[in-house]
Amino acid sequence: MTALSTEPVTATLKTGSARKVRRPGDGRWAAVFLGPWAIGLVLLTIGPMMASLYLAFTDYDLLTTPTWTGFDNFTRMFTDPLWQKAMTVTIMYVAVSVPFQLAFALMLALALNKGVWGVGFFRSVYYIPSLVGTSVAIAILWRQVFGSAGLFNQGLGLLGIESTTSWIGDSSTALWTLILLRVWEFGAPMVIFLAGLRQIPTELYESASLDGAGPWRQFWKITMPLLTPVLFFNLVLQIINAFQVFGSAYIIGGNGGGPANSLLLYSVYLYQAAFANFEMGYAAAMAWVLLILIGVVTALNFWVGRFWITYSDD
Amino acid sequence: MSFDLTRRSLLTVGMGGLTLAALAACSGGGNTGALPKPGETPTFGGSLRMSQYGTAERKARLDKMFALYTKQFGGEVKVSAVESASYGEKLATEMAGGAAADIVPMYQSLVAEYARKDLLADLDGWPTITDVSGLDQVSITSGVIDGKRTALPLGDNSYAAFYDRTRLKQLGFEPPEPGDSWEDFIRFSNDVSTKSGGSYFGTMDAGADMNLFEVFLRQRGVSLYDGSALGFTAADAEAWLGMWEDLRKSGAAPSADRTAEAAIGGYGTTQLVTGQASNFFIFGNVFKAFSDLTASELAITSPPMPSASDSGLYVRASNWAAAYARGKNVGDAVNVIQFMLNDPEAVETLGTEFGAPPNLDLRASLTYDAADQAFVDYLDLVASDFAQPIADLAATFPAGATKSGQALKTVSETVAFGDQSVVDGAASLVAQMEGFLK
Repeated sequence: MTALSTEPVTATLKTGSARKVRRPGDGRWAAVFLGPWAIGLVLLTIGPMMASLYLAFTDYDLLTTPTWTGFDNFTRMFTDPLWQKAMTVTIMYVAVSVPFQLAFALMLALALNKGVWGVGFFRSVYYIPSLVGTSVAIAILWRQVFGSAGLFNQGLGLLGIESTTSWIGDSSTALWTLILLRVWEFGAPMVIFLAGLRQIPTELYESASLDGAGPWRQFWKITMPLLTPVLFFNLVLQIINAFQVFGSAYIIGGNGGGPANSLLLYSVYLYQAAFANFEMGYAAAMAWVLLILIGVVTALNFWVGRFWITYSDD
Repeated sequence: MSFDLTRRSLLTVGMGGLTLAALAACSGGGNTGALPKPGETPTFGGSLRMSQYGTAERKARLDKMFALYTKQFGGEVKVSAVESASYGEKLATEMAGGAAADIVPMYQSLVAEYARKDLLADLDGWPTITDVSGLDQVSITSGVIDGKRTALPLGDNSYAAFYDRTRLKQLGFEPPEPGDSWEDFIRFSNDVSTKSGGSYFGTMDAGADMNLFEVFLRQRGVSLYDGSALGFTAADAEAWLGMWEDLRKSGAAPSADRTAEAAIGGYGTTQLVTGQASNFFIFGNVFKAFSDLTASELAITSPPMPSASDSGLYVRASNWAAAYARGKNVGDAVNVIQFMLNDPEAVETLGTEFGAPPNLDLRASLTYDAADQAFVDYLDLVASDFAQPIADLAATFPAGATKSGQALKTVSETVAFGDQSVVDGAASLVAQMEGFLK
């Protein structure tokens, strides 16, 4: 099947490359068209990254000249209780929110893939939280919902459970409200799951039905294996995004990291270090540690993925 | 040569590109006329910018005042306002980027920080413009840092307690009187909570309030800082944290989660305004702003104190105005500050927005509405009965002091949530604040 499907592509590419004739001046035109992108890459991405790398090895308070301090900023992290707290909170946030978010997104995608009436409408509606979930307005609304006099407590009241707890203000529950907000932003992975589900040939399900496989067995033996590449894609992207979450934590918890630092996500502490404490060198070092951490986690994901991802062309 | 184009290779290439992109994302009007030099009178004609924090009412008053300025001097002064909590961060980035506004108001804790880095102009360098003869001479000396007049006070101020008179009256209480003791305060707070059946708290939990903590320390004969060293001991911090712990336990103050919830947001989320607690501690100049937020009648009084002679209170501006030293319009910026402080119409327009006008003649000549009058009366009372000497801004806020507020907040909350004991919290606070000063 693989050979059959790739043959036409190969042929087209061969034909195309054979027809191509290099003319004098082609290189110059390429440079002209690539130039703006290359300048942007150097000035807006590589340049600032190199500057950030340099600052990571300095003591820099934003206002005076940076002074070289070697690895001091990096070694400081291991003795800084707030850095350790931020790391703990962030890992907890990523480890809990991403699986729940993906499970919820997959559940909805499976429901919408059943060909229910108005699927386009529901798909749009369910995607809305992903668009607005990271907005300031929603974060403020979240504070209202989970406040001491919020909708959540009112809902509990209707069930006969009287509560005046501020779920957003309690250090033991505040992070869970933030995790819930992330799970609620399930739209983007859901749309990707839905696209993946549409790619699974229906003949496989028909054959399985004829062989007596029920829906549960079909899900684990057909749907999940063929969906693993898409699941892996969602997993990697959502983990990277979750490590970098800032806006919702900043709005819900304030710039102080929430009640007793329970919402002190890594990016919030990084921001505090840079713009509240004027420790830009330390903040730059923290950013590079985060970059390395995300890189390691992503590489680990790719390595582990070899053992559980099933490609249809395997 | 052929391409083995499979779903796996496409997915891998796509993933690689997206991963790289996601990783990369995580790293990280000038005056057109001749500019005056020090000693010269400004020839204003262009556009100036003033950064600002605080309420919409404050911005409206500033806009109105700058319209008056434009009538006299031409040009325009634009106000870029942000909420108070974000102002310090915005100012830091603007200063770092060399793009700070020409006129830079700031709260008292920031003045020395920027003055030490030579980012604030020496206002005495413009003798034909700067006129401090009519200003409160005690207040203005505090802004002289390393021999330079780096900032001028926007309004005298003092720390205060606001109480909900209407709600207290419904419960059969009168707001505490100025000069009441801490014992009176604790008894009153418990009585109010008890009388309300626990639905209304006698006091907010002010354990994380650095300004009130400073007053408390001064009452004990110590201070936040003593030069470049810490001015208090763990025993002082224990007394402070322990008192609020007792108030929480007795039900006089709200639980930790309710306090943490109220701490996020502006004046509108304070428990005084939302009707959950009878008081709020803050600088007195915002009494009118609070009064406008609630249908209740508010009362202004002093924080509790051991005695009038150990009140810990002082009269000093909490809001200051400076000119950005690296701006292109320093002379004009100084002229704007001078106008804000000494022009009768400008002073009348600003009223007590930043505090009682530091120009004493103009302060005496103004007529105030009921809320502003209550604040001015309170300030006069503090000045006459309670005020104690205070060191200048540089001594009050040594280098590294700006981090202390966050440390007190964290310690107060961890104690309130039971994550650490009062004794451990006090020791942690002292250790952290000593670390900031190194």
